[in-house]
Order: sequence, then structure tokens, then C-alpha cells
Amino acid sequence: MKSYKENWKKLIGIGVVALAALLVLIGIEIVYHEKVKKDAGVEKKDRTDYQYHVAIISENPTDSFWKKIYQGAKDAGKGDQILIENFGEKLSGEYSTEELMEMAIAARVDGIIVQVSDEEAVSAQIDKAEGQDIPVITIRSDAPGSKRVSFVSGNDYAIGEMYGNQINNIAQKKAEEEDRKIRVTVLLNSEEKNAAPNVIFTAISETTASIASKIELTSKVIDNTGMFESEENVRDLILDASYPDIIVCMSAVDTSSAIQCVVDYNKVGQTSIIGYYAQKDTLEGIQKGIVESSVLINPTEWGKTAEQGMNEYLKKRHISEYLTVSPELITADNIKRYTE
Amino acid sequence: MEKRKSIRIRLLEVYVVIMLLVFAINIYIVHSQSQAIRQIDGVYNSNIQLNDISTTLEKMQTSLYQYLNTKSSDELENYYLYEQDYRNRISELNEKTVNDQNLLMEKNIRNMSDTYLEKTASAIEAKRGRNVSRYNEEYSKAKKLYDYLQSCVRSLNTSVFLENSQNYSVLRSTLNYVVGFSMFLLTVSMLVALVWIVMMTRTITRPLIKLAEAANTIAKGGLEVDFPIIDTGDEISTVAKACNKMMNSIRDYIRQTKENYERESRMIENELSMKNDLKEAQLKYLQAQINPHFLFNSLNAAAQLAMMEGAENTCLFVQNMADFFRYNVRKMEKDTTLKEELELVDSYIYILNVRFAGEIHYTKQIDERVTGTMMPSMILQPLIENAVNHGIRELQGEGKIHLSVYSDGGMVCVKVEDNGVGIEQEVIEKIMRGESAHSHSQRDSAGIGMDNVINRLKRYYNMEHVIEIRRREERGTEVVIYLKREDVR
Repeated sequence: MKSYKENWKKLIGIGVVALAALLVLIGIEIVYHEKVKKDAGVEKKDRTDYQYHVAIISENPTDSFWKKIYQGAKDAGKGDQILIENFGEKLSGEYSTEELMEMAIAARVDGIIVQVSDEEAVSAQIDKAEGQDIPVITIRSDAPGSKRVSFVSGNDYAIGEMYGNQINNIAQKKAEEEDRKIRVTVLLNSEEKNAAPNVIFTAISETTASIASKIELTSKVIDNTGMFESEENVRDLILDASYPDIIVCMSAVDTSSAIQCVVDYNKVGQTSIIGYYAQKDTLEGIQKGIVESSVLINPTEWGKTAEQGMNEYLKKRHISEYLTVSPELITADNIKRYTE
Repeated sequence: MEKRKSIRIRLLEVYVVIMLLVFAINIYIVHSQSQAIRQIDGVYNSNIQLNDISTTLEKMQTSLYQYLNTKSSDELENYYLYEQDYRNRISELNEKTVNDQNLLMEKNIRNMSDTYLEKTASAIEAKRGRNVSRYNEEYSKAKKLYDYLQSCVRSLNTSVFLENSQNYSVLRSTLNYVVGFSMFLLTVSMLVALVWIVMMTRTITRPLIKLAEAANTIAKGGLEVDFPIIDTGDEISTVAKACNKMMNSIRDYIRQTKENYERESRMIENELSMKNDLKEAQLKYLQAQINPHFLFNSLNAAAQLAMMEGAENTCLFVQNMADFFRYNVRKMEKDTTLKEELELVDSYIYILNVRFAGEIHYTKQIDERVTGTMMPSMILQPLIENAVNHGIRELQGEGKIHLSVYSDGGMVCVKVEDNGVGIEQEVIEKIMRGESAHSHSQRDSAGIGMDNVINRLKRYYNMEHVIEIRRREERGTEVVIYLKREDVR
């Protein structure tokens, strides 16, 4: 009788298959388990060692704009064996720029990129760092009297030129429509300690020189020392009988105020705005045609340029004293790149 | 059958496999659970470590302050103890530039600690040198660094704690998952094992159960049932085979006994019926016995009387009559020879011819060599009687009877032919089947039917083919009886 033997073999076979199925189940479980643990970060992450440790310091390390600068520097540092640390971001207490610098020096970092807030206090720390052979690069705001190795700034002249070109375009169009001089008002920021606004204004004047006869270029200093000043100032300007045909803003706050006023007082189309930076209302303004264009220096470009300078200095011990970041212009044509 | 596996081995196979399976699963479960628990245990280690660092740092700072304040040597000793402890703890922290925020913080803490320890060392040195302004300055620097360090450790602790909490909850859930999966695995394996065991044991016991069923049937008397032989190669098939052999010999024995019994009973039956037939014949003749004896004596007396009176024909007739009856009286019980039977036929024909005035023309052709053949008595006379009564009596004109005796192989054939009315085929068949014998015998004067004749011949010679009855082609009937020759019997 074959059937019996076949039965027996079949049974053994079933047992083996069941066993194999259980083993497969266990295998799947193990793989799944490892995956869960890995996903949760229990297992060690991919870690890379870097050659240099550079602290990037600002008074407000959690500010979103600053974080973008940090991110730009960090991404750029990956290729150069430089690890950028947003110093103080993880600390629970609030620390001033010089305190953070002091910590960074005590922590013996390889380099410091700092946005100067209190020039005098920070300068002392910069000098102390230099004394311990830690190079310092200032970014956005400078401490000219210190021993910093370099200063990364926006290319103010280029910004001015950009503004000027925009003014040229709009003014020429408007001049053709209306038989009068086009009023252009540049809002200057009183808070700026540096000469930057003046450089920008000079660049604007020089760029618009060709149509100087057709425009009436004025500047207005907005007092930003107190809070909420910007909006009041812009409102006064708009409601004036000889309201400006073109308003040029040099800060994000001014741009927002200008947009708000133009919309509130129904001056859309009559007053063109050339804004600054790419905050949400500006981008919306450009999309709706309230804002002609906006100039900005990309924060990641800031970070990238500072990192490149630090890399150069760490490896070659030499760097030019001024590094500039080129501005970008946002118009209705390229706005998608910024809204995404 | 390549391998003979006994039931014990088979059962052992099943249990060992199941045990191994369950054991393996248990090992796996215990392993994964203990692993998960170990991981959970290890989660907050880093926090404990950081707390220790913070505490040691605090103690060290206090000792430093006390020493600078009082210049107590105890405090200095304490300070050095704490410092050593602190250094040991710090040395466990990461010192590489790594793209992980917590590890980077560890590096910062480590480096800041080094800076801090430099400051404290120079403060102590200045204290020893009684350089008041310097140790004041160094202490305030160290104090500042101490604050920074504590802040950094706290922040790192918080950050690590957050990460650990996250890990902990994940690990907790994986532990739950592991437990759940283990339960599932155990249940599944138990079910699989259960089904498997049931199937396996059923395969093992099924032949046994069949064997038992067969045994039950046999016990109830079903001797024809065979034990099912399932070639399991184990003890069961051996038992089944042995039982089958036993059953076969039992059946053989029973068959033999039955055959013997049947043969015996057949023989007894044969003897009985032979006796029965003889009794029947005897009875018939006993009825007539009184008359034959009386008749025989009377006839003898009559023959003498006729002789004395000179009536020769009468004397011959009576003489024949006397012979005929004497034969009847004398020969019924015993065997006789063919010769004597032939003589009886002669007497019988003579009597009939006298009775019917020579109507029967009797001729015979005898092979004298075989007349000594032994045969039962009263066989030929009934044949002649039938030939006369059913054949030529109803015939108008001369009736002819021809009797011939000749040998044919081992047989002696006695043929009786008549030219009578002939016999119907159905009647022949009936006679051969022994059916209508009695209806004939009633009309027979001698009272002996054909079936009696045939049966006696069959039994006497113990053979089937003893008679042939044919309707003759020209007219009349032809009856042949076969007698076995002495020399071939």
C-alpha cells in the first residue's frame, strides 16, 4: 500500500512547510522590528565626522531668517569637511551674542561666524578669539574695529542698481502716460548703523541718472526706533497730496506697511511698490500686481558665502576682508521659485 | 519498504519535531523580549550620566569656592577628588566633530570643561600665591564658565531626555508589539503542532483501528474478512500479516473439515438411497411374494401334471412360468449375471407369446463372452416389459423385439429394440430426468419403474451414463443400457 507511505511523507512535508512558514514569519518580524527601531532613531543614525567645527552665532538663533542662513552655511559646509553649529539654538537660557561667543571660545571651536549686535562687546570677544587662534567672520553687520578676518555683506551697490533699474522701467512707462515728473520716494531705514543705505541710494541715483529729468527722486528716513512706526510713516506719505508714484522699500516691515496702505487707501495702480525680501504678503502682492517687484538677498546665499569664506581661511589662512552676496529680484515672472 | 520504522520511532519523530519547534519559538520570544527590556533599561542611562556630571560639577565648584574662601585643606582635597571624578566623567563624552546636535553639545561641554578646569587650576594657584586680584579674576571667569557649563549640561539633558522619551515610547510600543507577536506566534505554532500531531497520530493509529475493526468482524463470525495490510513497515503490518496467515490456515482447516463431512454424508446418502430403492423394489415384490411362492409351487405341480397327461406345450409353458416366478423370488436381493437376466427375458417372452398367441417376434444376438458380467437383478425384464406394453401392444400386426449384447470398450451394451409406436422425445427427457417414472410404474405388471432401474444401475456401477433411450428412425424405440465389464471395474 503506497498510500500510507505517501501520506506519511505528505505529513512530514506539511510539517516542514509549516516550520518554514513560521521561520519566514519570524524573519519578517525581525526585519520589521529593525526597521521600526531604525525609523524611530533608536538605532544609531548615519554619522559623519567632520574636520572643522564652526559656530555660527546670532543674538536670536531660533529666528527663521537666521535659520535659513544657518542652513545655507551648513549645506555648503558638508562638502568642505566643515560642520556648522547654530550655536545656542539648543540652550534653554537666553544668551547675548558676546556670551555665546564666550562659550564658543571656551568650547574651542575651529571658527566663528557672527552677526554683530553690540559692536563694542562683541569686538572684545572677537579679539579674544583671535588671541586663541579662532578666526571670526562677521556677517550682515560688522565690527570694523575688531580683528575679524572678514565681513560678509550684501552687495549694496548691486542692490541699488537693481532698485534703479526697476525705477527706470516703471517711471518710463508712467511718464509716457502722465505728462509730469514721476515722484519716486526711497524709504531709508534710520536704524542702519552702516553706510549701506547711503550706498544703495547713491547707486539708485546713479542708475536713474539717464531719466533724471523725468523723475523726482526723494528719500525719506523711517524712524524705526520705536515700534509700529513704519506703518504710520508710510500712511502719512501715501495720504499726502503729492503721494509718490513709486515707493522703494528697503526693509521687509516697510514693504508690508506700504502694501497695507496702498490697499487700504485704494492707491493700487497709482502707487507702485518696489519691495524688499520675500515675506508672505510681499509675494502675494507681486502675484496680485500690487507690488511690482521685490529685491532680496537670499539667506542661504548669506550662509553659503560666509561658509566659503571660512573654508578659505581655515585652509589657506587668507581671505579678502569683504565678501559680498549678490541680490536677487523677485518679479511676477519668477515668483513661483519663491512661493514653492 | 526501504526502512522499517517502528511506532515508537514515529511517535518520537513527531514529538521531537514539535518540541524543537516550540523550544525554538520560546527561545526566540525570550531573546527578543529580553533584548527589548535591555534597550528600555539603557534608554535613560545617558540622562543619569549627565545628572552625575552636573552634580559633580556643582560639588567641585562649591569646594573651589570654599577653598578660595577659607583656604581649607579639606576642601582642597575634596576639590581634587571631585575634579578627578569630573575628569573621568567628562572623558566619556564625545570629542569628535560629528553631525549630531547632542554629540556636538557633548564635545562643547567637554572642551568647555577643559577651559573651566584650566581657570580653576590657575585660581587655586593664585590663591596659594596669595595673589588676591588674580584669583578673584580667575574665579569669576571660572564661575561664568561654570554657569555656561551647567546651562549646557541642562540643555543637553533636556534634549537627550526628549530623545530618550521618544525612544522609550517607541521601545515600549515595540515591546508591546513583541509580546503581541510572540503570543500570536505561540498560538499559531501551537495550532500547527496540534493539527500536525492529530494528523500524525491518526496516521499511526488508523491501521490499528482497521485491524481492530477486522478483528471485531471476525469475532462476530465473519470468517471471510481479511486483516487489512497497510504497509506501514511497523509492528502493525507485522501483526496484520501474522493474523492473515492464521486466518488462512483456519479457513483451510474449516474447508477441509467441511469437505470431509460432505463426502461422508454424500456416501451415507448414497448408501441410504440405494437401500431405499432396493427396499422399494423389495416391497413391490413382497406384495407379490406370497403369490409367486404359492404360484411357483402350484406351477411346478401343474407342469408335472401336464407332463403326466402328455400335454407337452402346456408343460413347457408352465415350466417357464415357474422359472420366471422362481427368479423373482430368488434373485431380488442379490446381484446376478447377465446370463441369468437373459434367461429370465427368454422365459418372460415365452410366457408373453403364449399369452398373446405368438404375436411377439423375439430375436437376440448375444456375445457369449460377456454374459458372465455381474449386474443388479431385475433390470432387463422391465425393459422388455416396457417395450411390450408401450411399444408393440398398441401395434397392429407383428411386434418385433430384438435384443443384442455386445461389448464396446470397457462397457457391455445391452440393446433392446422394438418396432412399436415409438416414444415421444419429451417422454425420453422426462425418463432421463427420472420424473415420470412413477406414472409408468403403476402400469407395470412387475411394478419396477424406469427410474428404479436407472438408479440402481447408476449406484451399482457408480457412474452416470448407464442408459440411452432413442426413438428409432424406422419405427419403435431403442433402449441401450451400459454395464461395466468385470475386468475394468
